[in-house]
Amino acid sequence: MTLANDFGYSTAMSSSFPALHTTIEDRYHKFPNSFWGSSGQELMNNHVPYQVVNSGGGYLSGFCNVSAVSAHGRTSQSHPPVSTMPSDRLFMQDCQQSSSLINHHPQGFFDFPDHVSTPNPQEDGGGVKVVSSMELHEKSDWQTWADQLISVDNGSEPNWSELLGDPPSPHNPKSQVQFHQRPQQILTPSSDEPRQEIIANQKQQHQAVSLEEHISGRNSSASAATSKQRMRWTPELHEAFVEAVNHLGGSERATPKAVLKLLKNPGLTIYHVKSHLQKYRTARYKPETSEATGESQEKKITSIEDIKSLDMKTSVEITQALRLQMEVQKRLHEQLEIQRSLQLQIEKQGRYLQMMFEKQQQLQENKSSSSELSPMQCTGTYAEVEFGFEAQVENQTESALASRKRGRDD
Amino acid sequence: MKFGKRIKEQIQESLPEWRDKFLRYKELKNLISSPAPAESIFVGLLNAEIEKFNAFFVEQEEDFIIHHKELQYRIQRLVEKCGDNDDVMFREEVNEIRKDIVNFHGEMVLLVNYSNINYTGLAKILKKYDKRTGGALRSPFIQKVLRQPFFKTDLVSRLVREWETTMDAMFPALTREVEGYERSAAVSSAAAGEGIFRNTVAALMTMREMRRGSSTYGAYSLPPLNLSDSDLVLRPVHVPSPIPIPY
Repeated sequence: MTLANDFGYSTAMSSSFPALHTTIEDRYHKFPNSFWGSSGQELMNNHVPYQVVNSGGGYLSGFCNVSAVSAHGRTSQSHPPVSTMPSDRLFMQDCQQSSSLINHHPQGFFDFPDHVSTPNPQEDGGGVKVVSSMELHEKSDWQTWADQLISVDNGSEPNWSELLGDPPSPHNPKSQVQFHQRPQQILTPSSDEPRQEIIANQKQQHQAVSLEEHISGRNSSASAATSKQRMRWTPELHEAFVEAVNHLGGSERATPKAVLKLLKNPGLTIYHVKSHLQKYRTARYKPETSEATGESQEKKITSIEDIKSLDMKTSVEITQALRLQMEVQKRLHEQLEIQRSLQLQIEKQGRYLQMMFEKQQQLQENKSSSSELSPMQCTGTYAEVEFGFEAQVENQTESALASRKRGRDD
Repeated sequence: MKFGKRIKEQIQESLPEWRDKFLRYKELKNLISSPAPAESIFVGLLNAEIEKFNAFFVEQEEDFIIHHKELQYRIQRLVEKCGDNDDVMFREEVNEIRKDIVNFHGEMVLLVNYSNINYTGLAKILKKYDKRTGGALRSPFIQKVLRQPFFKTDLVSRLVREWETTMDAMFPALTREVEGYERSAAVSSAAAGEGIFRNTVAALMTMREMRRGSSTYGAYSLPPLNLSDSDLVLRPVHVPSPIPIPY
């Protein structure tokens, strides 16, 4: 617990963070110590700006910058065998803090343990694989990743899915990351054996805390000035919030300031906590009053007497209606998800085509130097792109897209 | 034209607090039809709309997260209280919770729908703008929209799916319950769920309509909706009539 205490991390964390823990570990375990000694340091100094957007199914929710919490030159032997839970929390805290984009005090890196744990493939409903892509990671990938982070500027967006090993797939609408001008450091975790245990126990959850900055249009400078920060809550953060509140004696007794202090999340402001606490109190108060048995019994007795005309069958009808309602809702949701992924595909395809078109134009301009070959090359590339997209299209839309393509070729 | 009508219908059917949070499609269309639609004004309006979506969406999401947890606790407490005991006394509460789950699920789906319909509206209005002005605003602007918080519905979708699973687990015991004093709980469920139900059906109808071939069907159009068996659900749409609760 020494590590935790060094940085005053709250231990009031839920236990549902092993997944995040392992994700980060897996990522970092792959990298030899020597690497961290050099370019890792570069990263630290460069204050790489980035922002993780919480996407429930997105693998990037597992990714976050982990705070460097040890001084330079700390050797692996000196790492105390930390028990599973505290290191869980430590880790999770790290991620929460760092992903909320506030300055961390540079304190060097932990050395990596020499052994490497086997990552378990991590997937949730969104079907995004984090760890499997991590397995492919080599030093060069990390370098690319780091370079991209360093060189990112406002509005640009490195292709996270590519960086993390996923093919640039239109089926992956969740791989969205926003970049903003926020100081950020890439840092490393500590500990060793406990992590292996955690990996074995990991649950299929993604955790991330995200702080989204309001951007109106492209006026990022204006929004930064107004500092109107929209906090995007996650179930995990909320769980932590609830634990903190309970620790402080319940929603009535807890004060925003105390909760804020307990949460230790630099991205969280007292304003956020205050409004969230208010919502929380309201949410708890309403159902609790209606659940008060005395009150509800009275209500029920009254209504039963009033509805004497209703026969038994009604309740069955009503529950059937509930079922129907649920079915319709499910269907709508299904269709919404399909529609969304189609829309993303369309946009992606559009971008691709635009790119190819521009490329072709470029080649046309260079026609004088490369003579007759260029138009053919262009066509070839174009066809490749088209074909590539054909292969990626879902069955459902295949025919539709194919017919569109034919129409365009005419 | 059709989309404008559809989104209007959706707004009408939507939950009251939501009604002024949707895209002001008609107003934007009018702006475009005006003699000299200024890009700066148009973009400014769009940005304001996007900001509106983001604020509303994130706030709703936060509420959902809180409610999600509370509902979980409620179920947990109920399970602890009665376990597998099928005692009639608990059925009341079980029904209450079921109703709440279905309505909660519905609200979340409607939020996803909200996101989608606004996105679709933006895409359409941008297309209209480019057509009218010969500009190329659509593509870069839509790229920006894709990165907005309101478009990122993954978390809500995830919660939706979780509750579907939970419901499947909770509903099997349904048919065995025909108890007298379940009425009161069941009665209220019809009334409360109706608003959500109507909205949901309206949303599905809109989607189906939108996805039928249009005159401007092109490279950026969505393929027709595949609703095969859910047509059976939608066609004889029988919205459960509100059971009057006498005063």
